[in-house]
Amino acid sequence: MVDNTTESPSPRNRIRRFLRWFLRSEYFVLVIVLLAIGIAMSAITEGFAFSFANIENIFVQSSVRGIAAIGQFLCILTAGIDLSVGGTAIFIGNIGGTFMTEDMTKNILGYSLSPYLGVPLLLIIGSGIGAFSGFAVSRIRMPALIVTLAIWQIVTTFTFKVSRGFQVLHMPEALAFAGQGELAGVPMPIIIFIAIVVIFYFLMHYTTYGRSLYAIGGNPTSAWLSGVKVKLVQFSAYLISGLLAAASGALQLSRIMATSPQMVKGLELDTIAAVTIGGVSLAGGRGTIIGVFLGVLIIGALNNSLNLMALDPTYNFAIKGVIIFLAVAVDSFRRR
Amino acid sequence: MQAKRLIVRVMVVALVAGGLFAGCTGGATPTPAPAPSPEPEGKWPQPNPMWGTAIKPDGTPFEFWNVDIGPCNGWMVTAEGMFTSLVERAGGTAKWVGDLEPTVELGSLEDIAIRGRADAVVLMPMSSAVTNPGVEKCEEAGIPVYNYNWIVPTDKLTFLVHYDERTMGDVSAQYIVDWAEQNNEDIYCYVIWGMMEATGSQERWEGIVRTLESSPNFKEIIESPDCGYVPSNATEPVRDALGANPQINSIIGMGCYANGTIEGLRVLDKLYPLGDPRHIVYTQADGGPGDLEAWEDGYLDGVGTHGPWELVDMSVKAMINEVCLGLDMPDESMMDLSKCQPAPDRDGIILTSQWITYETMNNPEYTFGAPRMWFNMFIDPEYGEDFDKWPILDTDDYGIPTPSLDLVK
Repeated sequence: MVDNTTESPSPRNRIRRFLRWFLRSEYFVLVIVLLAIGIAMSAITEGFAFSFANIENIFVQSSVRGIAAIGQFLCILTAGIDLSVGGTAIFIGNIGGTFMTEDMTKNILGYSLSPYLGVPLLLIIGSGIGAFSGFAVSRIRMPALIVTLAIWQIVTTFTFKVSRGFQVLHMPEALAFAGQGELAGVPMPIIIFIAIVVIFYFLMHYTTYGRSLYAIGGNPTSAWLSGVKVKLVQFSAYLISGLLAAASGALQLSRIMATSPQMVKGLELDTIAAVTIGGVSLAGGRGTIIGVFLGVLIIGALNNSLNLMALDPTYNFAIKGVIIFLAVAVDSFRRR
Repeated sequence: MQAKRLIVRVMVVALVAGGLFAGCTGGATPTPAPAPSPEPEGKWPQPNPMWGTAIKPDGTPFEFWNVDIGPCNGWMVTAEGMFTSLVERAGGTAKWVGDLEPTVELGSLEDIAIRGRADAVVLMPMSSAVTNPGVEKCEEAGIPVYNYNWIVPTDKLTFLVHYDERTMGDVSAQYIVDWAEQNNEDIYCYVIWGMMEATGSQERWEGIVRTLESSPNFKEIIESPDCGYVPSNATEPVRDALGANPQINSIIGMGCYANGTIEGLRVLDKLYPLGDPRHIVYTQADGGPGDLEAWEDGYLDGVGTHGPWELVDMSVKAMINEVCLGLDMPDESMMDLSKCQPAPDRDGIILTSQWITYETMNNPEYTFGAPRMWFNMFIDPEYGEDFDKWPILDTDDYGIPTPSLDLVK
């Protein structure tokens, strides 16, 4: 007679299993790096780096970057890339500001559009920009690098045309909640960021769509032969990237309650760095949302560390570059 | 496989060791190290009235932070060098963070506000709008912000000093207007843009356009693409524009473009110095160390003043006077602002740009009492790049005295 009962594992065995899983998981190096930065900074700043206020600050500052990084992740997962993320975010922020400002000398509509209409409109515009890139990549089979670079340049021009280089102030008060408000004591940017991470975690791990993205990145031919609608899924990746870039631009607009042609300058490189640190392969087919989340936090913690240390800023690029290089190198070595 | 295990074990050990180290050194905030006393010998020009003003009664130094766009050109290097030197001359601790990316600047201000240790911040923002929330957080945390050059819009700002940048455009264009009228020439002017997204660039443009268009000799302005205040970026635009538009007889650079402009003219065989009838009039709304050679050779006619030295000098001195000595500093300019059109809508110390030529650049009237204009200090062997040797400026006329313990006795 076969005994089908299984003894429940002891707590010690559970801990062992978890540790074994963690040490072998792709998150191990990322968590180690994050903790190492935190511990080193805690020593230098007499414990301040691990204070609740500072950690909350890192999360808030990482939220704009993190939202856009998730969109970048989807594109890179399908063996593409989206260089228009920063340009789209800046364009959306600027055009949103000129729609919603109460300063009629700068408002291009002639009236202050309510944020309840304005923000969804911005997300639609961002999605449209992403859809254009997606169409060019998936249907016309143009290289994603070139398409999105061109889109970046086009939207940057439109940003200047809309803003004429000027900053726009006097936004409606209702706009401030997303970027400056709190819910149950938690800053709204953190809530929005975490919510998007959770949504995409489920999307990637528990839906056919998520698995399709991985399949396309791994081998588009096999994916197609398996019945995946490769072109549609590729198109959707860029559409979502545009949507999330717009969301990050709108969030930054809400945070600073003003527009600037430099609002989120450098976002495209930041998102690529975060995604790469997070273990996402630039060749596509590999990577996780959690990895991206940790990569975003590592960049945020790095920036925070450099601020707190007040090192000669001329070293900042080199320090960031070295740490990014080490994180990716160790992770690559582990995977072999 | 063994190497991988080794790496993992080393990392875990390092993490645990780091944790123990942090645990032993963390905890209660230690007392900051006291400022050196007496004043270090021979470090600064004597007498140094500032010594001791940024030292607290318990002997520890005041901590001042400089947040700016990083050492991207000679202007910023001078600003940063003088900030550090002046703070240290007073016995304070100077900290510096800088980045060209506005979101990083914003992050720096937020981190400073949250940490709460800084006694004050001196700020030169890349983007005023983006850094605005960071300034408000600092002010709300009780950390006063002393803003110079590009203005942050918040009303919560403690102090502001800047050049009315329209006047920079005005003076650089007025020279061309005067030249055209004296020589009965039509004005075909090529304007080399700085960073288009910077508010200062837009204001310089306004000044240039309104002054040129006010002349009966005005014909045409041709704009360059965005040259980002990088001299070498001006070469090809100048070459292409003047090649395609031979009628161009004057150039205005918004920034320190002399090297690039000269090269562009040389390639076209249009490079002639002042005095030559073929000379293309060339002015700038701003001048820097890289322009001196072109200036000396007669290719650059003159510039509008816009120095980092006086801006940082006033900001730091006002900061020390207020934060350390408890004195009131002026909220508004004490100088004639009739040249500022439109009138300034912000309280603050407003400076108007002055026109200077190679012969007049070191006139004390323009140098705030310094022996030389800021960009000329580097070539003087007595000063060079050692900012500790540069003197404190005379800004009494602006209501900002040099900080001294005698002021509070």
